[in-house]
Amino acid sequence: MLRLEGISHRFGGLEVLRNIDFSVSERELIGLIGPNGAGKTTLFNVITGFVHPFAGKVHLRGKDVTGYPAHRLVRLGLARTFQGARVFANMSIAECLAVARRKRAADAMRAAELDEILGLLDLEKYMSDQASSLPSGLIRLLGIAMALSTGARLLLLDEPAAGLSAEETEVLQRSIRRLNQIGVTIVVVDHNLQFVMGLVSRAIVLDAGRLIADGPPHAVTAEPHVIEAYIGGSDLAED
Amino acid sequence: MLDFVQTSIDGLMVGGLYATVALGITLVFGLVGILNFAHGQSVMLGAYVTFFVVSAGYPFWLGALFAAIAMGLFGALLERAVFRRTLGDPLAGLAVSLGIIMIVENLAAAAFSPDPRFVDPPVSGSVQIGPLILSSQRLLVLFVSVVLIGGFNLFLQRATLGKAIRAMAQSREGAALVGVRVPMISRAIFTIGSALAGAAGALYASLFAITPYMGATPLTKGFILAALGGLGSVPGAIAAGFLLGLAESFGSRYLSASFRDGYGFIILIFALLFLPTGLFGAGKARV
Amino acid sequence: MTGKVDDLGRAAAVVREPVRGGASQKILTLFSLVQFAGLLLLGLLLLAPLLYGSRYVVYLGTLLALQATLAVSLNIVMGYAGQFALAHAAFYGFGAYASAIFIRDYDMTFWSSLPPTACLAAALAAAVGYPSMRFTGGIHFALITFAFGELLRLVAANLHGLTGGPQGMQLSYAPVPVLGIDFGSARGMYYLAAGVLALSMIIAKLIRRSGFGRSLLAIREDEVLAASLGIDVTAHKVAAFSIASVIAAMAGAVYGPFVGFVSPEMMSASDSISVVGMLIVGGIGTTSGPIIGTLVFVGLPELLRVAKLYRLVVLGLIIVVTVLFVPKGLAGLFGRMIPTGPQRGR
Repeated sequence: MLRLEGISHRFGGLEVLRNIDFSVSERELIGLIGPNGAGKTTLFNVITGFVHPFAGKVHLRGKDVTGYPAHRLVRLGLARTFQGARVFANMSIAECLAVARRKRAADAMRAAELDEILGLLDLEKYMSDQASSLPSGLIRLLGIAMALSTGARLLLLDEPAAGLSAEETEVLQRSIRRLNQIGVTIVVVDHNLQFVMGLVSRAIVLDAGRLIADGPPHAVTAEPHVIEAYIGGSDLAED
Repeated sequence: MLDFVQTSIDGLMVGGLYATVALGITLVFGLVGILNFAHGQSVMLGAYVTFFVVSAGYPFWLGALFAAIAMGLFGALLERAVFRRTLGDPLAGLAVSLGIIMIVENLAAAAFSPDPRFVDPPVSGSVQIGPLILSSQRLLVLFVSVVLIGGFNLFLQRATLGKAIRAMAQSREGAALVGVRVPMISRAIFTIGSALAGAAGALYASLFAITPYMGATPLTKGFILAALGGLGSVPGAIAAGFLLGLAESFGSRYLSASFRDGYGFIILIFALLFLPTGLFGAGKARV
Repeated sequence: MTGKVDDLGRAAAVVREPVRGGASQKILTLFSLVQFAGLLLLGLLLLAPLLYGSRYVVYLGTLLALQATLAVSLNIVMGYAGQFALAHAAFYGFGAYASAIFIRDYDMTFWSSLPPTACLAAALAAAVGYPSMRFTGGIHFALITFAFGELLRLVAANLHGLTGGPQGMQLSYAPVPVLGIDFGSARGMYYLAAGVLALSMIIAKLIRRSGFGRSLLAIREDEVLAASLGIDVTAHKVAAFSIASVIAAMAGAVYGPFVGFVSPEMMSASDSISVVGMLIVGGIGTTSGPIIGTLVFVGLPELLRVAKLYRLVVLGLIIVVTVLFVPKGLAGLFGRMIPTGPQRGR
């Protein structure tokens, strides 16, 4: 579904991504992890169209989409959320979702499927409330619901668990799992290792711009490079 | 060849005026982050101050001095009363400055009447250098604007306040850390920028007609220059100023005089099309 | 006049806070009453020429209708999309000039000059909008439109051959009668202007209720988020700007024969800022805001014979005070997007 080929990027003279290659198949639930400064955010922005990579290609469903702006990618079925609760604060939930629903991807999910997803995220009862009045856990879910309302089949989540309570984190985990079960391909970027590793079936690890590990969570955390990367950095603790 | 030199001198002279105005804009927007569209009003008021001083019988240079001082105070007043509150929200600063334009421009029109006024230039006639005949007044304007710009640069290099301003241009936080009092510097920048504009107004007065609405053109040109030269960059604004003056001069001479003011705008549009991060550096994302 | 504006301002400022509880509901109702009253007053004013027919009333009605059209159309790009367009009066003047030049030099009639004028206005708006609206934050766009407005004015003043230079052009044409209605008479002009206003309000309303309008509001709230949801932000912004500018140009085309005269003066920065000011006072982004702003800032002073200069000074003062003191700063000026409580026609 998504394939990265030789992605490299630099800011000024600093190389932040070096020759990244990996693929994501449909229906996978993947975590993208790595210590601070490893380049996760940059890679995330490259995939979602907010940064044009210095070198390399991005393929979405076989199509070369390198350099496409974000809104075009959405129409091809890729959507993202933002760190922190980013929604249209002055709009109602219903309006937020309506904005997203305008653009449908080529093979958009049918309305029924979409409703099931929204039911999953349990936002029904808040439909006419102002978006900014929601507690932060629910705002995260709203962000995800908005991204999904675009009809996207591939969802990239940017630090969805940051700043959530244990309870909210659990709700989030369950929701993400459920979404994956009904067919959404998901890539999660987060610092919270416990959150990510307990959730995904495959983890991709970045360190200093390079891809250093790719496999099931328990295998990846046992790898010496990975351990070294984290101990060398300061990221072992969860939020 | 003669023509070419003549056109160049004209261009440089106008460019010097533009640059003087642009200096104030580039510093205020670049360092204090305020988009002050009312900057042009300082030019206009400076011109009127000069007019009244000269009409009262005093020499031109006194008028220019008064203009600079009066506008410096005006700038300080605006900063303290108005722009202090809009820090951090450039669009709010813009909106407020729009209101100020309305107030100042129309009060001026009411007080001074919209009829154009004229000031007798301090020098008249022309100077002959070899085969060239150059208007003395225009040369004087060029000279004065170069002096102002040069003086300002000297100030930046040598004076304590000037150094503080440069420190702030490098890094606001860093400057604060080493003890630079940022709010005071901001007020100083406003004051100096406005005083420069006032002086430019006096120079404008010696060459062109004075009307209450004359502020819009120097303002627009000034912003174009500040943007093209890089915000907060003094050399950038200066270079852009002279280049724009030359572009306009040559454009009018060899292409079309009626579109004179359009050349700067066209340059700006092209700059926008080809600069991926826009005119204001890395801050703005593209969507 | 000050009293009424104070009330409006106070009511408006209060309503912009999040609404909770009964007392706020009452204020909300007050505000919607004010809106309703504003629309009613406009309706009366627009109908008055039909009833009274005195020359002055007809003149005032026509003028108000045209000014209100400017405010309503600016609302599309500034209220809905949240972009500061500072060249609106310039497009107004452009419409007047272009239409007049087509009639004079290309042998067109008033009606047949409208489509090419509209196309030119749209092209200009797109040419100016596209390079500057690609960037977030709105500063580039504000700067470019301001410069462009100035440029149009200077071009009009300098191209003596084409535009008559700083003196402008005397216009002696009138719209050809259509469907038996003589639009050239004073009354006819009034109907025409009222028609243009009605049309622009309909367009604004249609946009507001459409997906396009919702996307614009989303862009106003958060451009980056909108882009991440599939909205082509630049295209939307440019479209809104073009629509607004074309409507302004059409109003300008009517203005020409109405006053019989067109000059660079009508394209000044002051006039463009006035329209922005009318929106700020009346409420940016709301449906009746442009109407209220126009009534207060064009209607009242005309009635009270306040000189234009003083009116503009007061407007400038109000802009400054409103922007500085409204809670939540500039963001607080933009009308609430959704009614909390009973549905109102916003």
